[in-house]
Amino acid sequence: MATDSQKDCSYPKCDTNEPVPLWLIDVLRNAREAKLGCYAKAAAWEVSRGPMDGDFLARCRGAAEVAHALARLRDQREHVGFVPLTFGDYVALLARLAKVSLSTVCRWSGVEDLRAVPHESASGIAKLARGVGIDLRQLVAHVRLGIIQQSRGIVPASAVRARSETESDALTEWESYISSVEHELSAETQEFSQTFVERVRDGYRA
Amino acid sequence: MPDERVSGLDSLAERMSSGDEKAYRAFADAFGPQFQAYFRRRGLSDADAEALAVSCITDAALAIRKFSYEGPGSLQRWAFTIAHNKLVDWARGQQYMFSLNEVSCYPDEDTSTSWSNESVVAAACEALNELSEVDHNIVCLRLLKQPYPFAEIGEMLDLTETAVRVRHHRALMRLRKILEKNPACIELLSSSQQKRSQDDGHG
Repeated sequence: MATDSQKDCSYPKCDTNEPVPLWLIDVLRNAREAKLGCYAKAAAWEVSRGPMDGDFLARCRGAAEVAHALARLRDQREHVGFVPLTFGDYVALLARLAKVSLSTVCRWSGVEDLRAVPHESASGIAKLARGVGIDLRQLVAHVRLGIIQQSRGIVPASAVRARSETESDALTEWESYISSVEHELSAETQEFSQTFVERVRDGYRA
Repeated sequence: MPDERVSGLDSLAERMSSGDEKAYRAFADAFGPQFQAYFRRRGLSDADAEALAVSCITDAALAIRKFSYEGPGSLQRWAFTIAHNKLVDWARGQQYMFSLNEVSCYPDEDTSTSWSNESVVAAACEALNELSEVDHNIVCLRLLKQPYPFAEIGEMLDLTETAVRVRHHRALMRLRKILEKNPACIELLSSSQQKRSQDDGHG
């Protein structure tokens, strides 16, 4: 952008009553890239003029606290990798390792009970998983494990030998184990599992 | 416009990336109210502007490791890009109740023409960048749905209200001259005129 001294002198004088065509306004309205920096500066100027609303600032700080907690959970997730646990147990494990309050992130995602799997919690679980950086494939494995555990009591972890060298290998082995166990579940539970997993997928992609 | 407060924020990103909790709080204090002010100017109600600003703080802070420093003010520009995208997503969800149309200060008219054409948008960006910084700011701040009053823009830019009005109009006329020479704009203008003639003929 040129400086004022370079440009102002070249401005033609014009009649300020000359109408502004609407097409011009429409064109300029769409030039987002050129305007955001200006809006940002104007917002900073506007904020600097008046007192801050204490309640609103407290909410903003709460939102930043959530981001901080999620960032720490992400770090732990990268460190720990896939562990064959239900989604609730996995996130609780990460929270324990990261020394993060689970209630902070649960409140943010709208999940009341991480261990329960009612249909209504699908979008909250998806939101939390995305926040923590769990990919969709891994999330689905955790969710399916949760449904098996709810139906069968415990997940027989010993069923899969700890021989995998990579996270992806481990996940693949567990996926095939989960599929084999799911075949033994009642038709009703299988249907519930499919519907719930689909809802989680939709929530994750939304 | 005061830039000192903003440029001091650029170091926040690095501190946040290393997990400094105080930096997260400072980010919230700085950007929460700015996002709120921006959303209000774009026409959101106080309640919606607040809720969206709070949500933006989490999103932007969580994405902070993707930020790369590109000179003074870059964190603010980056954060506002996130805020803007969030606003667009929000508006899509409210499509029957809310329009992101920025120009309520101008009379309503359905031009029935797609001015969001990529070449035209690029030409508009180039044309805006040909203005001086002051005129560029004046034009942009008047395009908002809740435009800054001329008097406030004057206060912001240290100009009288009359000077802002005159510069605003001259800048628009200059932009008009530039864009009327642009091939993509010429094409769209001509198709728009043809369409209008056809409509008039039918009417």
